[in-house]
Amino acid sequence: MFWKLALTVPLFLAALPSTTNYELNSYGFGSGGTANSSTGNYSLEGITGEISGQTSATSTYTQKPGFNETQQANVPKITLTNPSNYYDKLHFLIDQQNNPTDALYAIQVKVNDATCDFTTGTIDYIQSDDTLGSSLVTADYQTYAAWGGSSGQNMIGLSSSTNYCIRAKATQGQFTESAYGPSSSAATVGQQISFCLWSGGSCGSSSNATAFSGLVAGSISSATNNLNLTLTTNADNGGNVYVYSTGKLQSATHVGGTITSVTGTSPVDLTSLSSGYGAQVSTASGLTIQSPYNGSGSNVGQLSTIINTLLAASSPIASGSATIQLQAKAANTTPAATDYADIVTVIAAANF
Amino acid sequence: MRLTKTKIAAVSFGLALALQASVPFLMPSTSAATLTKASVRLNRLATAQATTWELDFKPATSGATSLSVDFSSAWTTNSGLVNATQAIGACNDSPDTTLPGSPTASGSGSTITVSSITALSNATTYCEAFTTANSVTTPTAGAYQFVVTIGSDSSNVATTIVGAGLDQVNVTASVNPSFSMTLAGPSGQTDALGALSTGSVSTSQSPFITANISTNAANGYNLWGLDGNTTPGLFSTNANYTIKSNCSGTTGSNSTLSPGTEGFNLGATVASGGGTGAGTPSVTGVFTGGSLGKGGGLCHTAYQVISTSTGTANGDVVTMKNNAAISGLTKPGTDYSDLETFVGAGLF
Repeated sequence: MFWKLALTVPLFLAALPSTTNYELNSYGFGSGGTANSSTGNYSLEGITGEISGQTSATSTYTQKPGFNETQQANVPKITLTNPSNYYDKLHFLIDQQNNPTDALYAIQVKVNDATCDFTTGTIDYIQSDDTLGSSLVTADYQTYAAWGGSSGQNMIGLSSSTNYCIRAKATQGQFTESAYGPSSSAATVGQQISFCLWSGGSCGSSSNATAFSGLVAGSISSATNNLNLTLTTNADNGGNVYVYSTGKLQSATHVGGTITSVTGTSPVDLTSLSSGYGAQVSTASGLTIQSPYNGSGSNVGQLSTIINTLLAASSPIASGSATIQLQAKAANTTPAATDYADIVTVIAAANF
Repeated sequence: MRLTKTKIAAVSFGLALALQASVPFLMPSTSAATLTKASVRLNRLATAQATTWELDFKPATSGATSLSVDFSSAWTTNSGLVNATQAIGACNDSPDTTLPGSPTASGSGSTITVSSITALSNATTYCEAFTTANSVTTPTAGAYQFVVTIGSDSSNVATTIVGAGLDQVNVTASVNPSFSMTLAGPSGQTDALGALSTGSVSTSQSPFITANISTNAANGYNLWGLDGNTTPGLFSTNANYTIKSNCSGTTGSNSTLSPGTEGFNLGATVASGGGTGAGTPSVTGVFTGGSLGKGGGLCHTAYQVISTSTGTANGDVVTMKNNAAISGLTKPGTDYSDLETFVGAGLF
């Protein structure tokens, strides 16, 4: 017994067998095992006489010694974030932890648990289509590249104002699946839209007003103050800004005192008219100007009792803004008066 | 002994595998779908406004025959209202499809429900207008979320309510008063009647005397005339004689001159320059012309109105003709003349 022991001690102290590219992480002399016990659905790998997989752990590390454990894929890490006020998705990025490119990863999800306790409650998995599902099937194990690679990916179809925890595990063939790595959490926000309209002053001014001072028959004038607006929304399909009015500048004291808005779906040149009234979006950021408000110079779009789309965006709007100029032209026969008036209404809606 | 231990371990391990693999399949997994698209557009965003609105959506699942929009308890808690009476119809500002079937709507609490819809398709985007003037009344300013439910699928949508009046801009304008008039005679500023005879009535020749008037005075304009001679009419210095106009005191009268009967008058006609909203011009009775010798007498001590309009004018043309006739007693002279003054003004 003594000389057998003397022989085994030097073996444990020797360097691990290796080549230029490969190193045998562990070897031992056990009493036997099996690697080919299988049915159509299951395979069994077993070994006897080796050190068991009994773990030892600290708060941040877990060690699992043994032959089976050494052939497992590296435990991956994963991060979950909400980079842009998402209400129905979150962004995850896998850290491969030096796993090879053909390693497959599965991602587990816990919903509405600030403690990220995966040992209780309902567990979901990110499916291959990036939605959540309660089942984990082979197709849901995907490569790092399929999960978005270095850019990561969004998990979609989430509930708004909800916390999500995720963690990932890796595998690279039979008997190599790792444990789940550390979890990461983030929360979706609620659906959001903010809108502000002002003319003169700044957003929130109590007096939204503008005026045409002294229209001269036959001359085109711009209103003293432009209309300004801002629009922000996290709606996946963006949003629209709309405009409507009474359709005319009307004198209260003279029934015939009317400067009627231009009409049509294209900008109209006021120089071609004896009189007219309309709007033009002179600047826009984060929003696309819609016809007929996309004219220039004296080309304006209608201010109608029908609600028309002034601006549009087809994706979330981080900070949309626009400036609207009103123009008018009086005719020789437009009665002189000081009480022409219109009310222009500007509204917005988001497309969730 | 060794073989037995291995077998037991294999069975245990296999059982563990079986259990682990089956766990996901044993967990229930059902959830309603989120709508592909959902949008609620309130047609007023300011607080405390009764308003119509539109719902625009694309179902996630086909087959729904009803829908609802829950404006949420926050809406009603913050002074918002949902009218029990709801009228619906097609969106007149959207290309999307109106609800099929014979849908009807009603409100209860914070929710508006639409029923009797023919099965919706998840390949179609729908738009429905809620047209009751006070379909909803907006609450206090702030952010609000609604739940749009189509069949068993739903989505949250958000809107923002702004402060009083802050979804509107009051636009005012003034139009400056304007008046213009040009005057022209048959030959510059001269109207030569030629040699008068007892056998005929002489009159101005084309293009006559014209006054072209434009004004945006809502009450129209007046065109006045004044005779420059102390005794109104054609005066000859050499003959010291006046072919008098038919002016009595400060007022003329309308008449038609006859050959061989001495007289002098001014006859006028007017044509509207047209234009949207323009007034209707006319010639006063005293100076109504239109036939040879017909007209009225300009006076010297007071302007008389020749033409007027009921409203604005865009190039009204007042055409005036002087008429003159002599008798056998009219003193000869080559220097008969008169200076007629015409003025106009808008009636603002």
